[in-house]
Amino acid sequence: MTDGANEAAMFQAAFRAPGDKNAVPAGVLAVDAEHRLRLVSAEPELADRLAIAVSTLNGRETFTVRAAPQPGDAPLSLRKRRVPRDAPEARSAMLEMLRKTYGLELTPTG
Amino acid sequence: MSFVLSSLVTAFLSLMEHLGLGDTPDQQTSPPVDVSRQRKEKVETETHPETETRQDGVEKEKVGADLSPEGKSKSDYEEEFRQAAEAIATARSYAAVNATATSALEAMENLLIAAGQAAERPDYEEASTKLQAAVVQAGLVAAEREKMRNAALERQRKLNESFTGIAERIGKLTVVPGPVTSALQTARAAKDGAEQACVKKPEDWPKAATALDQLENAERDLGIACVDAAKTLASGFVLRFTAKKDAKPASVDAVKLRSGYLVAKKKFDGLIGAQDGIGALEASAAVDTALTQFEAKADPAGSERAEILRVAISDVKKLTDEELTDMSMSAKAALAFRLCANGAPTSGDALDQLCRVYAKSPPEKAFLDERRSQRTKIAEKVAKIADIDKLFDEDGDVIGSEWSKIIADKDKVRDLLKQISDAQLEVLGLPPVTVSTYSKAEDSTGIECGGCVWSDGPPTIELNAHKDAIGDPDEAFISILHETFHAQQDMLVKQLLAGELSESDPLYPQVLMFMVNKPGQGYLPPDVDQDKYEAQPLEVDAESQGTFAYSDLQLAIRAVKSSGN
Repeated sequence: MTDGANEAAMFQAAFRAPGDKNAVPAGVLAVDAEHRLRLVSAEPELADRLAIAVSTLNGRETFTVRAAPQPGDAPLSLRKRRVPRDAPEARSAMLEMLRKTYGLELTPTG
Repeated sequence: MSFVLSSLVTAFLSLMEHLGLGDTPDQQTSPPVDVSRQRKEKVETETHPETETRQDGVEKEKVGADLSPEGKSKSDYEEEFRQAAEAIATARSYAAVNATATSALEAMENLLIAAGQAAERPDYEEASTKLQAAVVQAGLVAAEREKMRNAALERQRKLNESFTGIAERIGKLTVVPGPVTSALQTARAAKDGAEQACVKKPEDWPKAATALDQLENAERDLGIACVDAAKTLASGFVLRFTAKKDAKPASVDAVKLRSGYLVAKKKFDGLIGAQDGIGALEASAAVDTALTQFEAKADPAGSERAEILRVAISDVKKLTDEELTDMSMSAKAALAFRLCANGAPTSGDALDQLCRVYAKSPPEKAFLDERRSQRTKIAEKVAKIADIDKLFDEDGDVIGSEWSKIIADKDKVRDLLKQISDAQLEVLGLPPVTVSTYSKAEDSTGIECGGCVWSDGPPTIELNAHKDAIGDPDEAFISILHETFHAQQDMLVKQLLAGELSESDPLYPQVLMFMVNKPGQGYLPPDVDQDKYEAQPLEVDAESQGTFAYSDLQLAIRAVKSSGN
């Protein structure tokens, strides 16, 4: 399902905090070709979370994902890799950030 | 008047007798104070009608039936004197026990002289008055002695009681250090000396007090000897523990025995600190036992470690994923310890099975519930930091221009991150840690965001303040939250190792798993598969909680802004 004006795909968003067994419905998000998000609808108790997620991720020029540790890296060090919006893995990077930071899991509607 | 005096003296003597404090005739004949004796002789010469003699040697019935102006007769006075004699003799019979008694004795003798002089005139009424006053002073002398006697006997009772208690406790020790035995003998001799001094006749309470001082000092010295002996034992315990403490545990038992020793040692040290040497010596047996048990398990020989590992690999391989998942966190941690028995696995079956155990060990519910509560509190606390508040707009988004000002100044970056870390650790009930920054650009392998260094001391956090790493403010916040959770993990592991985290604590199993996963123990090497690397317990916790905590913070800031606070 797409949003005709922006050629955006529509996703059901579900929320799951770390450790939660089950996700709960959070709302509907539209995601365009540049992986920008638009809030279509939201469950009232999760509206702020969805709004912040949309605003924060849309404000980024690049996404980041955790990178593989390198030989010589100190234990407990944190290494990441930037993923430009036009990179092939940008969508998965955005989805990973959405899931890890905001607990939002997207499923295509319809 | 004579009736009153008679009653007073009689009552006093009765009291003395009642208390068993009356003096034997032999004692009365040998008063220890010369001044009193001299005065006594003088008074007897001056006052006793029966013995008064003229200078020419002719006895004179001087007072006879003479009456004093007020009508008191010689015979009345003689009767009063007879009744007062015993009290006066008793007062004179021992050394005055203190300054009050000395003054009273002096006053008594002066009053007796005055009484004698009055009888000479003759004025028996005056003589009687002085005599009564002298008896009162005699009573004071006796009362002071009585007080000192009672005080000495009570002090002796207490010192005997404490000595007996100490001696009995020392007698029950498995091993009695030589200096303690010696101090005990000295104290026992002092106790015997004090007993002798307190029953000695004639009574000499000042000397008895000296003997009791010696007993008290001997008991104090015995206590010091016990503390010193306990300190010597403590040094031995430390040496033995130090020899084994850095050995990598090959089993969860080794960890628990280590904690058990440290708990016993902490109690032992507390007793020494409280100067309870006997208590410390009593506790030393438990410390020794706990240490011996730890030593037996702490550092198995290489061949034994290899065998533990071989069996562990076999055991874990037999478990299906479902069986492994269903095991308790403690049981999985125990398996992980065995898989690390021969050192941190770097390849082969040991590494594969360790990764499998880790992958099937997501955080326990109790730990996650705690984390949920902690995240909320951390977000609320950080949101109220003034430097944080001014960075965000009312929607919870970072204001780009404000962030640019921060990252242009490395000190501001460090200070801001430090404030976040401090607030986070305060919520977690832990002290702040050092936060430092460095600058390193992105390269082909990615961006170093920073790390947390675990050592024997407090953990430290090092973060990359290069714009490649923190150009996006989200990354800076997530990195400091992530690394501060690693710092907390280190402190939790140290608490467990120090025996400060009880096995009954709901967080214990998770922290036990953190411990086996710690760097140098079972932390996975960098060349392991990335998914496996990120699935190890320390990383799962820091990554999921640190990252998610950022959205909690954004929501808290939004709430603060919208409420106008």
